[in-house]
Amino acid sequence: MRSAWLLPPLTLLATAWSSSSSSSSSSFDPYLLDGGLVTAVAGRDYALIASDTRLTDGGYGIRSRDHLGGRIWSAVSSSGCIVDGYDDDDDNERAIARRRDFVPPPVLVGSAGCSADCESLRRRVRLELDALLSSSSTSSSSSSYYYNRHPGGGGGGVRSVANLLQQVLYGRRSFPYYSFCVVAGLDRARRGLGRGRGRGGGGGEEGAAYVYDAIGSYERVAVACAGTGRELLQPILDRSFSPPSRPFRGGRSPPNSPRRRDGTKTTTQEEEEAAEAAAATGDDFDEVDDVGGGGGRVSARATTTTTADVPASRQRAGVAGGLVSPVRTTVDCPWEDAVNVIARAYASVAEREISVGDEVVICVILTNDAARSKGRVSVGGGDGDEDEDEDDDDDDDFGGAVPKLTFARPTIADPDPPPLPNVRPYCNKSHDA
Amino acid sequence: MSLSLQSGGAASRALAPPSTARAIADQGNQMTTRPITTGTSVLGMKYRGGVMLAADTLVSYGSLAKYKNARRLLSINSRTLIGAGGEYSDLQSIADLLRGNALNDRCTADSLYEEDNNEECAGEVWSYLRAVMYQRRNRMNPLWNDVVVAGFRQNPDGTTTDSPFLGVVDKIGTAYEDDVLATGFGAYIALPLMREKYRPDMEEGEARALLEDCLRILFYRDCRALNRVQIAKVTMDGGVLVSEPYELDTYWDFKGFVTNKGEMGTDGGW
Repeated sequence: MRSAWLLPPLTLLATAWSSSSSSSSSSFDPYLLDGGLVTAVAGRDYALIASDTRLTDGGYGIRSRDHLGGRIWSAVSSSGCIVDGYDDDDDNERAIARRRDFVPPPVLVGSAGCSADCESLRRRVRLELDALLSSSSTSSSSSSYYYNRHPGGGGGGVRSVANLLQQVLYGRRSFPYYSFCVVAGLDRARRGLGRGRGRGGGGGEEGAAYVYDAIGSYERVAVACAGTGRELLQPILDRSFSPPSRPFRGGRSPPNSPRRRDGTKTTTQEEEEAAEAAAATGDDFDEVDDVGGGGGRVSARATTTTTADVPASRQRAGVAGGLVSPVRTTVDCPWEDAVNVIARAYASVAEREISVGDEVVICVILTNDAARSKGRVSVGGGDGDEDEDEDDDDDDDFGGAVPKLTFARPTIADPDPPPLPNVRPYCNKSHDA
Repeated sequence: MSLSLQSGGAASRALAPPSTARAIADQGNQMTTRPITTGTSVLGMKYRGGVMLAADTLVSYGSLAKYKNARRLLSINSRTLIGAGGEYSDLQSIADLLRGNALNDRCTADSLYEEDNNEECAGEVWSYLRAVMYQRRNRMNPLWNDVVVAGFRQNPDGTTTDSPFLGVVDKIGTAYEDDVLATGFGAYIALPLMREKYRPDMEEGEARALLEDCLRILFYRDCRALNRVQIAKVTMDGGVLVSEPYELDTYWDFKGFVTNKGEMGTDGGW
């Protein structure tokens, strides 16, 4: 179910609402597409949102090189996650009080298109969520499906926000928010507790990303982008974040696979390669699948194989009780690699798309385990430009997952981007001198 | 505080679907289709200690330079300044609305003392204006302006910070802020110059000289501009100050203006 349906051209929409007295010469156009390209990536133990910061005037003019307000925003205004510059509707006291009781992983939304609509959408979604959250008292969270008190962290938080966004967008079906969105957050992992954990999933959380069109049709994906330049960026991301197709398998481990620091392969990687080998040689799917583990094992497989590898008869109910999607919903690489790939992909798109450029802001939400396993997490603005502070001090106060927000702000004009550690180009032969 | 800038009774109700829009139009309530009396660029720039706006005092009636002493930079309260290009009557309407709100705030203040200042700061005005403009565009009856809002940010307790604020709202509700801003023609001609020369610690004299230069250049190249200009500033201690209009000196003997570019005896370039 790809969101391939395009909205009719702006002129058609505009004339639909012009009064009969206006001539065709100049009618007011309520929309102005002023740029923006947003991306969301869901990893095994992180979720990521990226955006460029350029705001155009719809044509060749640049209105702002530093526009982030309606472009990346936190769905819940008082989650302690202050992404945009003027989140001044938060009373600090209230934010801290909320953090003491609940620690939801922040859900970040990226929206691009008509920035007036994106800003309005931001306010509308926050209004809806605030109303929802304040209607359920802080002491009894049983009725509040957004806040979840389990030590494992947020439950259906991102899924609820994703669904809400659809409802809000479709509610304006007759006069759409010209806002193409992506949503990223942490979700309860659908893997079982058995094998298939690899480097992530210890806390039972994995990344979730969704992509929308302007009237609310959405789907969960591993990596997707939206906005101007989407056609340029999506193929790069598809390729960079996918395991290789069969012809390239030949004994080599797939790029973007997680590796331990000493270079040995992780369990996940070995089992993936075994699966590739099995699938390539036409072995029965069940031989690779362990007898024990049941639904959990299928879930693990489903997140790393393509649709073609999971025949319909093999799809079973996942841990969460719903059918597990045969489409990849997480990527395998660590978040640093994802950040590198995205920064360079944006640089490529900025070469050819005039609405994309200036700076890229990448926000990464890590699960607690991912943060701890690193040994170091840079918290706070990468360049010191953003004065948002994450709840880094609260990590010890709560039993729940306190996701860390890291900001990486590589500038597109960087002439020497860092090399990609675990990513190998498919056609390295053609690049060698 | 009410979003009372409605165009009429019927149109002020909920979102009008197309058929109703036509019906309303037939009854005589009109939607804005094009601006009639227009002002051109507004320039804005932060500097050390404040924010400065600049604009000329011309309001054009199509190609007629009709009103040569119009005020397009207006103070809203003691710490907020707006300037707008576009339809002049809509600017007057916006000014009435914002000043009405400011008066309301003053009359309903908890205290009569100036220290307990509960006036809206520039950020609030900007945010509110965004909502007003967006609502009007939703009704397909926009206020046809680009409004620049200048002032300072506000602490949660209502006191003014020393962090300057400069933002703009356009007629469909696009709102953004920056260190230097220009609307209309100024975005093409003046903004690159301002961005080149801008430094956060510019002195007031420097900022003013730069803005005057830009207004002069706009007069050279914008058909709807005038060399009679106004400068306004907001400072931490001085509040809002709007200058009286004055003329800029212009120089027309540039070689680039005088010499023919094309070799056909006519002006082939610009």
